[in-house]
Amino acid sequence: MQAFCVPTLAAQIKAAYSLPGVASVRTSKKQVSAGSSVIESIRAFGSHSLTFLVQVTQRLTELTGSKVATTEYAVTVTGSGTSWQVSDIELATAGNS
Amino acid sequence: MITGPLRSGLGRSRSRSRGLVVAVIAGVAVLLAALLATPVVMFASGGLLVMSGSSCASQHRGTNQPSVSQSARTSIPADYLALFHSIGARYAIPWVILAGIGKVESDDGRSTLPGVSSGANAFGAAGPMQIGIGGAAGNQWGGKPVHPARDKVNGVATDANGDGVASVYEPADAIAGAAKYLLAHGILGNVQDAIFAYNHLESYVQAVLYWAGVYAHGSFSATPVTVDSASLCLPGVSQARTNAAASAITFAEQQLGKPYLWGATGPDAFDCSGLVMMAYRAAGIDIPRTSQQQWLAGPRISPKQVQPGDLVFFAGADGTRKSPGHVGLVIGHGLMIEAYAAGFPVRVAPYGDRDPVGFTRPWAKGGSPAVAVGSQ
Repeated sequence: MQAFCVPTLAAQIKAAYSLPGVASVRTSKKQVSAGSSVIESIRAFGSHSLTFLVQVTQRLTELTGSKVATTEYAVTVTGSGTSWQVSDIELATAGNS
Repeated sequence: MITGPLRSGLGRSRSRSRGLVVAVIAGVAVLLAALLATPVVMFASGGLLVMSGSSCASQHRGTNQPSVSQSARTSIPADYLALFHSIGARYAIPWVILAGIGKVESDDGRSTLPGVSSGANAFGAAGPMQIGIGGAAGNQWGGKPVHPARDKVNGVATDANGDGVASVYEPADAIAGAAKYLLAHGILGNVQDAIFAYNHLESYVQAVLYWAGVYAHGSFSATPVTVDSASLCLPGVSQARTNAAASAITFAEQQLGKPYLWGATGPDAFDCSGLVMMAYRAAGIDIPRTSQQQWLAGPRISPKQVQPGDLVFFAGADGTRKSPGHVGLVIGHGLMIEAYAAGFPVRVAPYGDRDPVGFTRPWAKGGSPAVAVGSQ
């Protein structure tokens, strides 16, 4: 995954993924998650970045059944030419004025 | 804008599989080629403009402000000269810029044109610094032209001479109000743009800078410098208690001049909470996404204990005192770096007179003492 993410984001995802509380739930409920995404629009771009609004659908299967959740994210990629990496993933509704 | 009690995207991602993240990234990559022809918001950040030919410290906090030229001593009234100098130092603005504006606007209060000593001119500008009190100029002063200092107003009105009255016609109050206006329009990041915001004429900018050069002993000019070299001039890094705080401040300083954009987390634009979140991410410390969440995350700090690297919170345009909608990064000397609002570049601004809600200290969560950084 490090090839896809800037180091600071990769480190954060790694830390979040391995949180004991999260990991224990994942293990105890035998969760398996599959995801798909659709890019809905471009929120903005600059000289070094592009920000997409992406609709992500998560299909989560666990011992008690399965469920589907859809969430919209703002995904920012940075780079140039053919070399791009994701630098941030946030809820599309998150921000401050 | 308040986003409510939503958790950050990364917070939610904790329950997602690595495969999900990869899927998102792959989806993004597939469409990259289609993006290049799509018209959307485009960022543009101007170059930073600061004084040239002087040491970095001379740009801030007044102790090494430009020296007074003989021309300034003989042409500026003594009381105005003292006020330009002291208020420039107080607000960390080159005093010669204030003096240049004072010269162009009213010949340092000596003009007999309408609106200088009373009333307003045809555009609604008033006082020696010709600050808008209504009309076409808008009420930049904030309240009535002369009002009790205890009144809360939404503008640059100031009681700088401590007489209990904020008067747009009083030189001390007017010059301080002008200083606040320049700070609010990013003078520490872009001198010329801030002057242009004061009066939307390029010839006005050139006239102010001409007089600034006349008034500065040894000449003064505003010339482009790089973001990196400008950031070295700010106070925060050298005063940070830990490497984490220093790293966060360094990151924020490197973003000066970039545009505000709601929901943006860089690298080309930021909103207020996105800026401080990414500053601390660069320092290896995770904080939540929005100012409301960051305020709750703490830990809270007494105003008397504020240090560079702390976060300062405000109710903001769409927030409340209990759920602050705006945040900045404290860099010392009563200054913060903030992504203020649309139309304002990421800037350095004072926070003390903005009625802050309180302070938090993300760097308390980790980091080593900044021995090496602090010695710079």
